[in-house]
Amino acid sequence: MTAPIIEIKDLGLSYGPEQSVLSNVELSLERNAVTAIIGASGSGKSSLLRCLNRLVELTPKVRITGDIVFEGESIFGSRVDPTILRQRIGMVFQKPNPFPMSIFENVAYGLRLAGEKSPRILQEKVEQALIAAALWDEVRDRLDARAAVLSGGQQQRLVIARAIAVEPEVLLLDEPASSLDPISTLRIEELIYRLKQEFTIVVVTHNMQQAARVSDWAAFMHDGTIVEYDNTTNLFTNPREVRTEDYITGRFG
Amino acid sequence: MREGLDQQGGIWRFDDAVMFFCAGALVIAISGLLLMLTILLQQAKPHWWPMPVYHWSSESVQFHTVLGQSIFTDDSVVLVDQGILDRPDARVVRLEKSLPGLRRQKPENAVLVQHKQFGRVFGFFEKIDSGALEFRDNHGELRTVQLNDLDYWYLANQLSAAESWSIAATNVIDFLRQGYESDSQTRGVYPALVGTVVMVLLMTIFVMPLGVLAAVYLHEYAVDGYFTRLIRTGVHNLAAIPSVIYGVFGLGLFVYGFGGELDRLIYSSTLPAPTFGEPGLLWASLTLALLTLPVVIVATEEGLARIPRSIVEASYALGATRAETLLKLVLPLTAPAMMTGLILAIARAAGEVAPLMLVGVVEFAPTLPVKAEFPFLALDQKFMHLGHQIFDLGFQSLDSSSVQARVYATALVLFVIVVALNGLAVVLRHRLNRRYHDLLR
Repeated sequence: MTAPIIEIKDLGLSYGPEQSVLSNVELSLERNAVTAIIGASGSGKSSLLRCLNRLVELTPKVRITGDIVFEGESIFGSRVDPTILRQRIGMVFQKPNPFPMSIFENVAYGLRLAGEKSPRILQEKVEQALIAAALWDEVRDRLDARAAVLSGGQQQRLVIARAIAVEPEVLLLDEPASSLDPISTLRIEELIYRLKQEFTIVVVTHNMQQAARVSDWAAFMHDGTIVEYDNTTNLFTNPREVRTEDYITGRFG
Repeated sequence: MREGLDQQGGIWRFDDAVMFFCAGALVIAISGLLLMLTILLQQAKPHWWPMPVYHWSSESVQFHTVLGQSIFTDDSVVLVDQGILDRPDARVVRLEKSLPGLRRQKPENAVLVQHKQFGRVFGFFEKIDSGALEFRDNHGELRTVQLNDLDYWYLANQLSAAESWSIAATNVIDFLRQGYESDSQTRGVYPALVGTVVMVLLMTIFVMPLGVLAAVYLHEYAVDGYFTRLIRTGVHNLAAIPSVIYGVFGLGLFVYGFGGELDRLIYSSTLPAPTFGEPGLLWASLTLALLTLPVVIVATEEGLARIPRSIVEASYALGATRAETLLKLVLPLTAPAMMTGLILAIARAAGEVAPLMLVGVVEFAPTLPVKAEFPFLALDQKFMHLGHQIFDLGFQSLDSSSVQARVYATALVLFVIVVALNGLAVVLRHRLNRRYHDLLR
């Protein structure tokens, strides 16, 4: 087993003095694997995900303790530029949120931010990203159409293409299929399965079947901390903790 | 006992009453607006529509006959414009309606002559001959005028509908185009129109960057706390301050403060005659910019607030900095809201008179505020303004009833400008909503 790509060490997070969201979170994420974070609503899954690319810092009054080490370097280090961190750790959100621009411009947005100006390279990379996100065949003839004309599932694949266009190392997926119909969900899951060849994927979900289907590793969160973390087969068939068992068998949450 | 599903009570229920009152309020509001428009149009009509020329006569011994157009009528008097050649001073005649046997007729051969020098002249048509028009004036004297000396002439009581409309169109265009003619009766509003537009454009240049940047700071950067809320409330309340207070403020700060200082530093050679130390175009625009700043800030902030958090986060998640997100994503999406704010500001500024009277508007400015040579704007000069023209004509003129039609015509021009600008705002807002539809799906 190679060294983990991300190590979360005793992470704590609070929004304001009274609102503690995460505490004592310990987690090591494996390279080129899919790690699922499951848990009930409000258990802090999304907040944990947002810590990994420091997006959580946009929320006012947020306080972070502990540390997250990415490729051997603390992401909270004083010389770390969060925008560079976010180029290396991409994110896809719960609801499809394409920009009100053309399909092409959506995917090119991150590339342009990274300073890519050549139209030829932009064209190439947009195409690659759309192919990788399994959307190319559906939009190849209408790259200039507004992103809003796409269906929800297509939009979600578009924002995945947008995220992978900048070639991040890690992809954070925050309940990527929760607003989609079963068929679109299936396509996203297939996509996740293929994308793990190139990326390390962390996916938050409260759909346990989905977690069981797509992930290699799974972590169960409850009340802002990791209750159990194991490879997916073990966690679902042979949980060590009672709370985990209760949750995955549907007795609470 | 349980009752059936039948409607309870009489035919009129509370629901109907609520709807009735709401509809009533709407009807009152709309009819008020329509009434205003009707009155404006009707009162302004003599100013552009070719009105009939009447011949008044009476059995009274002292009274001679009068030929001319009535320009003002009420229960007891009629004011008649009786243009007589060579006598521009004896223009308006006052007829008491109580005169014994006062009669008016519409002589078929009455002619209206618009003379380049003497203005409007009335008479009885005789003949037209080798470039000259012959007519008898009211006293029977034969007059001959060269056609070259005339703007136009027509037989006022024999016009067909098409001719009337064509004359009316000419009059409207002249009213909008002319302004420095010798005859104050027919003088148009061109300088006032130009003054209003130039002042509003200048104001736009001042208010937009300031308002947009202030709104961006308030919404994007300022930490949401007690102090920010205080400032925001303050800005919103600035919009409610009576405009004349802005005028006084502008006079004190811009004219006497900045202007006086500027004169001392740069134009000291011409002192004590002030250059910028007196009311003028620049200070008027700045005062109005200050006046409309809250409108722009509020509209822009509203636009910023309508941008979904999710796409802003998406931008950050792709590695965008705050400034990049602002410039590439947020501001382009806020542009329609800014435009709406701007147009509301323009609509407000175009109608403002009170502050302008303190900081730069005059009833007559000898030149336009725009020039052909650099710097193209007479920033230090006083200028004319439509709103002030209305005020000045209506209240300051010695014989206000004789210029009534002119007042209403000017008011109509201002009304049309403001309504057009507001209509533009509505269209833009509509487009804005359509664009946001994409975001909110």
